Amino acid sequence: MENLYQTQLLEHGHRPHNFGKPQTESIVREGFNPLCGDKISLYISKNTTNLYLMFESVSCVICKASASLMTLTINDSSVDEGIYIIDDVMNGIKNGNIDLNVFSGDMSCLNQIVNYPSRINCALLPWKTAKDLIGDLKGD
Amino acid sequence: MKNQLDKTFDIETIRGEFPILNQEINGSPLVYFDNAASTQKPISVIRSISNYYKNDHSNVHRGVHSLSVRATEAYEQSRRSIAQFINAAFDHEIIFTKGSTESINLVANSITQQINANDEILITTMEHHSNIVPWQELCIRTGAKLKVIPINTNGEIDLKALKQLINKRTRFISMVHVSNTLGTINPIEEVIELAKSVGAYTLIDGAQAAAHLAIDVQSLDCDFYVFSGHKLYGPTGIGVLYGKEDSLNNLSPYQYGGEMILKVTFEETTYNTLPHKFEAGTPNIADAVGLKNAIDYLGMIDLDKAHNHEMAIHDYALDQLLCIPNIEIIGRANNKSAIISFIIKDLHPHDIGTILNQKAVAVRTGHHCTMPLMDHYQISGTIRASFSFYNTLEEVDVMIEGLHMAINMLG
Repeated sequence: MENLYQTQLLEHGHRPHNFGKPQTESIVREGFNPLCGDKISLYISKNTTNLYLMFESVSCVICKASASLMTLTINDSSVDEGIYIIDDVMNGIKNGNIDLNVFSGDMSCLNQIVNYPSRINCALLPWKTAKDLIGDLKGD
Repeated sequence: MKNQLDKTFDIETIRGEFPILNQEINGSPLVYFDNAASTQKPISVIRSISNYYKNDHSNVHRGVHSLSVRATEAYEQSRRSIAQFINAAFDHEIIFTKGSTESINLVANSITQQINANDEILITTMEHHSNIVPWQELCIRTGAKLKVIPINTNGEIDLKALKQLINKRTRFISMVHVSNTLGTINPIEEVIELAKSVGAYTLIDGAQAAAHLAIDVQSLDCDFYVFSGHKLYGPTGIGVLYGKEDSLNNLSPYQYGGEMILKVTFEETTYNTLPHKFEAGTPNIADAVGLKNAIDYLGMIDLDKAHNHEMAIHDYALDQLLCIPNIEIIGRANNKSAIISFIIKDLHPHDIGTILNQKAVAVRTGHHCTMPLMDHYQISGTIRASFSFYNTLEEVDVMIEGLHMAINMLG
C-alpha cells in the first residue's frame, strides 16, 4: 500500500502544482469520472506559443497528483509534443512502465497504479481531459 | 435506544453457510461491508443453481417432455414463493425481470400511453439513478413534468412539502423504500395513502428493503413494488416487478416476442395474459430457482433476530465512527436501515476505500448512483458501510483500525 501512497504522490496530491485558474485568457475543459463522480476543470492559456495548463478538481489524491505531475510534464511543450507526451504517459500508466529516463523521477509513483486496477481511471482522468482540451485548442 | 447483540443468534453457523466469507484478501480475513451493493450467497442458493442445471434444465412452458415440465414447475414455484414472500394476492402479479432497474424501466415505458403533458411525476431527492432516469425519459416522451420531493438535513423526506406538491395532476409517485446511500426507511405507507387520495399510481423501489424488512404489498396497497434477487442473498440477473393485477393489466407490453403472445398472424397479434404478457423470450430460469432458494433460506433464519443483529452492528459501528476526528455522518434519519454513509474532512472516499481494502475491508465509495443526492449534500461521494446479519462487531473494529491507518497514511 505504501507503494501506492508514496511520498511523491502524497506531496503532489496535497500540494499540487499549477492548481487554480490562470490569470490570462484561457479555455477550459471539464473532465468527469462517472464511476466515482470525480471532476477536473483543466485550463489552457490562449495566445501562448507553448502549452500552459492549470487545473482545479474535486477528486482523490491519485487524480490530483496525476494532474499536478501532468502540468509539470507538459507545460512549455509545443502542442504536438504535448499530444505525444500525453499518449506516451497514458500508455505508461496503463502498463506501469512510464520511462523514468525520459520523465521526472516523481512520475514513478504513477507506475504503481497498474497494481490497483480500480484506480487507473483516477490517474488517467487529467491526461484524457488534456487530450480533449488540446483537441479543442487545435479546433479538432 | 441502541440495539444490542442477541447471544442466541447463531452467527457462527450462519457465517458457515456463506462460503465466500471464509477467505483472505491481501493476507487478512475478508470483512464484507458492501451488502447494499450486493449480498453474498448461502451455499443452498449456489447448490440450487448447479442442481437445476445438472438435473432439471430445459426451456419452460409449452414443452411436453419431462425436463420441460420440471423446469416449468421450478420456475413457477419460484413465482409462488415470491408471491408468498411479499404477500401478493395472486402469483401472476409477480413478473420476473433482470432486477429493480429493469422493473422500473418496464413500468415507466409501459405506462407511456397513459401519461400526457399535463401530468406530473413525483420522485424524491434520495432516489437511485435507476428511479430517476426512466421517469426523466417518460417526461421527455410525454411532456409530463418531473417533480422532486425534498429531504431534510437528516435525510428524511419532507412530508409537508410532499403534501404541497401532490395534486390532481400527480399521475405517478415513484420512491425508494430504503435509501441505498443514507439508509433512511421512508414512510411509504403515508405516501401511498396520499397518492391514492389523488388517484396517482405508486411504485416503491424495494431494492434495499426486501432483505431487511417484512414486505406486505397488500397491506401497503401500492400499485408496483420492485426488488432485485442479488440484494436478497439470491443470484444476479434476476429481479421482481410486483404489480396489482389491474395496474399491470393497464400497462402495455414492454418487450415483444415469444411467450408473451396468445396468437400471432401477419396481420395482428393477441397478447398473453399476466404474467406472460411481460415475460417475452426465454426467461432466466436458473436464477429464478436460485432466488426461490434464497427466500427459502431467509424463511429458515429468524428474520427478527437477523434484523436486530444488523442494527446492533450498525449502532456499534456508528458509535465507533463518531469517535474519529473530522468525521461526518451523511444521513441521520430516525428510522434507518443498517447502512452508514460518512466522509472524513479533506480525505477522499476513494483513497480511504483503497486503503481499507488493504486490510480486506470491502466498503463502497463514491456517489452510489445517487448524484443528485450528493449535490444536495454538496459532496462528491461518501464511504458507505452496509451491514448484513453475517457481519460481526469484530469486523467493525477492523474497519475502524483501517480508517485510522488511512488517516495516518493520507494525512
